Amino acid sequence: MNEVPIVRFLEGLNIGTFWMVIKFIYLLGIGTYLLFSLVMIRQVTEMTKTLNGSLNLPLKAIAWIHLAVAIGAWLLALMVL
Amino acid sequence: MPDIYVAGKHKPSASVRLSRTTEDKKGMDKNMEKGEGLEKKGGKRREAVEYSEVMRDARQTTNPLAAFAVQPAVTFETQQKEEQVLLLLRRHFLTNFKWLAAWVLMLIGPIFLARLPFFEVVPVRFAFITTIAWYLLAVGYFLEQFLSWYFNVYIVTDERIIDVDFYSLIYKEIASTKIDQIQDVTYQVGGAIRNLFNFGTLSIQTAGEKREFEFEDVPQPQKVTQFINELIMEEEQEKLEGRVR
Repeated sequence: MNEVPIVRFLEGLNIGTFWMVIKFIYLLGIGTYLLFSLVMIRQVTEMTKTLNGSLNLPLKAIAWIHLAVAIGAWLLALMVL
Repeated sequence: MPDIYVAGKHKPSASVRLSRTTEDKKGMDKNMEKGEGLEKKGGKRREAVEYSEVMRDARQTTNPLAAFAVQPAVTFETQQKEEQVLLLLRRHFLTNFKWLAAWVLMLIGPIFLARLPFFEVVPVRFAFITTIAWYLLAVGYFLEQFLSWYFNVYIVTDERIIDVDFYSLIYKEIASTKIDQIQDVTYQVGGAIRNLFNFGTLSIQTAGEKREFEFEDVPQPQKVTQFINELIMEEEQEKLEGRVR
């Protein structure tokens, strides 16, 4: 009897594969956030160019640190999960 | 008629003298062409403290997070060479209450959610990464909201009013109009919180392309209105006396 592919998939699915899928979703989610952090760098650059005040340098530094932390979180998820 | 000039006290610089004689000879007599008449006619632009009660009563603001900043140490993108920023306004700090409360809930949320039985079946490594990702999201949320509040400003210079708006991550709008284009300034303070903490919305009608400027939820709206009216009167005075730049 021909099995429906989804049934064959579900029968072959074990707990290890399940967590691999969850890991992939996590990496995708954190990766998306990483892109958001990159856009934030661009946003802060544009904003500080428009309005030049005393907080410009700290804000730029925070944006870059934020990006570095996002990259670190993605790498951590890749290694730990 | 205010005493604008005291002979010898306000001597325009050589460059100012030259710009006056080359750019605006209409109505000037021979003495003014030589530069001498400028002292009598008031060729030099007055400082804000000379014509504005608001500026006289206020001290220069040094706090970079101030929502009502007098003569702040900032410059902006379309600022002209001799243009001076006299007032920088933001939405009152209290308007940030909602997102700050949400952010605090985001910070303390994991402490309570971790007690749920659902998380006992999740492997420790996933719980760890979830916590890190959650706090990363909280930091990103805070940054985004703060940047939106900090950089959406209303600027009043000695020449113009400027409205700087960042609507999203990649869209900005900067609208400006000259002081002498302003036709009407009104403000409203509605509600208990706004009355208690003295912030409200200014509506500025102009004759320019953008007909209305709205300064939303700015502190001390009555002072801002008074200051803009003082600027309008000073502009009219400058035109009468031929001190226009």
